[in-house]
Amino acid sequence: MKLHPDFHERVLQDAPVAIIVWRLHDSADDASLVLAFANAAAEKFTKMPLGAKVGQRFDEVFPRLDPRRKKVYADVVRTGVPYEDVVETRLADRLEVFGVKATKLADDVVVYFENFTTVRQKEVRATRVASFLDALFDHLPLMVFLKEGEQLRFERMNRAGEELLGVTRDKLLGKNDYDFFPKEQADFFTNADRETLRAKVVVDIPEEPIDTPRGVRWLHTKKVGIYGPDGQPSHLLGISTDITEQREAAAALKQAKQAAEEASKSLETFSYSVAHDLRAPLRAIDGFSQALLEDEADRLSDDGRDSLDRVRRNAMRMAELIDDLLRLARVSRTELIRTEVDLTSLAKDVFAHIASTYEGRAFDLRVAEGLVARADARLARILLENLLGNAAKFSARKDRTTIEVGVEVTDRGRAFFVGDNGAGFDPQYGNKLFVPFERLHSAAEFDGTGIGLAIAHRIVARHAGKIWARGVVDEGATFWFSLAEE
Amino acid sequence: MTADKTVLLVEDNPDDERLATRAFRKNKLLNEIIVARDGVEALDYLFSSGGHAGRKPGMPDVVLLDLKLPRVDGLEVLRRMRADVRTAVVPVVVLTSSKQDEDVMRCYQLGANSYVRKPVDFDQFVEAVRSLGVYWLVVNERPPIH
Repeated sequence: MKLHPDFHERVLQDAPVAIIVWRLHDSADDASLVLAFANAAAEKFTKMPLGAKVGQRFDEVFPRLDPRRKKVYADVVRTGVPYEDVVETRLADRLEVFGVKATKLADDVVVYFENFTTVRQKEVRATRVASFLDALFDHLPLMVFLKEGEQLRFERMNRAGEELLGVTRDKLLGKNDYDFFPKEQADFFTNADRETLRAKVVVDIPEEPIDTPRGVRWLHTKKVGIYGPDGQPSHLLGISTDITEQREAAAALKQAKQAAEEASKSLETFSYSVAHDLRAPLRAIDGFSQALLEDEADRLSDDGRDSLDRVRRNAMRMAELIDDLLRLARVSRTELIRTEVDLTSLAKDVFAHIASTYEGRAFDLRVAEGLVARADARLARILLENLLGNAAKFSARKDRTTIEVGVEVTDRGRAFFVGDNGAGFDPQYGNKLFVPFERLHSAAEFDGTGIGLAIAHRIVARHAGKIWARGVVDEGATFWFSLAEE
Repeated sequence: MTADKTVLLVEDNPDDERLATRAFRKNKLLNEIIVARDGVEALDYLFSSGGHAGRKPGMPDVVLLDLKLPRVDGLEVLRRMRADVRTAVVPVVVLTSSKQDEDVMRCYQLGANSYVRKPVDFDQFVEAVRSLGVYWLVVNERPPIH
């Protein structure tokens, strides 16, 4: 087929490849290299009007180019051996990459330039992304591994994995679980792998033991399949966390809890025998003192009778102390069950009961509405019984008793309070308030054993809350308490 | 008027036994008080076995039962009484030092008719015995099991 007469000219000019032809006039002199032709792509590539420079010497056309370039081209003409190269040139701020190809045609050398810059940039970028992902994979602080989908041979294992298993990756890659682990373990791992790939879901194995040179380690592992465009499994990806220490900590905690439960059991037994065994002799002391008072009434002097009365009173007092200790122990022992407790109605209810034990006294009780706490209902009742009981008791000498129950924001956070206008207390002894059997008032002034606030303190502590008080002698006392949320 | 009624006092502490009988006398309750000093003796009396084999027939009008006893404890005595048709309905008042919720609950579950904690104060103890005596020996209509 006959081509168009302009064909050669057109192809040369339109080709996207820059073409420059040099003629070597004197084969012994590289400097005799003269520009014979340059196509449009060459002008664009060099950003120079090369067509106007035909007939000029190499050094005149490209004065800034490496003069050794001339020898490369002259050699092609002299030897007839084609030349090929990839050249990187930094132009301004960007890197230009192009391929150079030079071939001999009679006394001419035809040089083709092809711009690889864009292609090369993509390659560089891809390499960078790949090596970044590799580094990411390798540095993840969890064991991460990749197995091929068919034989489940290891294709990748990161550093954390090498450390955990105590196997370097060069020994691991290309092998499967049966090469490293006891058959039973390898079966378990392989079955999980196959199941993961088959079901196409993330499989979560909360606990699995694995033999390592450091002994048995426990892993929490998640496995997920990676599938090709055809939907066939290509890889299995696994991520494992070493939970050996957590497991040991949990076991230690469980053991400690068991020990605590046993201790509390033995305390219970102890309480029981205290209750039973200590009360019996007291009953005998009191009973036979009374028997003496009755049977020997004629022969007893007033002093003798007084002595026996004192024996009886002290037996009574000891019985109270024993009961108080038991109540205190009981508060520590019962299980804490939090529910929504209506403190407003609880306070009113508790106080109605307390008020009924004080005949002829006038109480002005003010309870704020809507006091609610998430607390143990039984313990909250005992707490209010103690605080309101104290408020009523220590205000007995006032003509009119005012008791207030409410909630307010304090510098220690939101807290409920029970305040009274009673006897108050000397603030310098305030630190003794919550100590069992410590009293700031004499028994002659106000009766009691000094256990109430110790019980209140323990109830609040069991709720992880705080209790504190402020008192002014003869003006009253206020107790604040919080019952922290769980 | 109540002298024909009998009380079985199951009590291992001789002091408590003496105080109890004294409290009965003080309250003019002149009933026969049979004392068993442990659970085995109590069961022997109730079922006319062992040392009480061949005793005069009849069940006590009320059993005052301590919980902490040598050999067989009070809870076990109560359990065996309720399991036997002869003693299933005999009134049992648990009279003990403990007032632990668990003990109280367990006694009622096993079929105790009453639960009284022995007060340390003798005056209160006398009062408790008086109420018990009046209630179980006078007011209460005993089950027809003679």
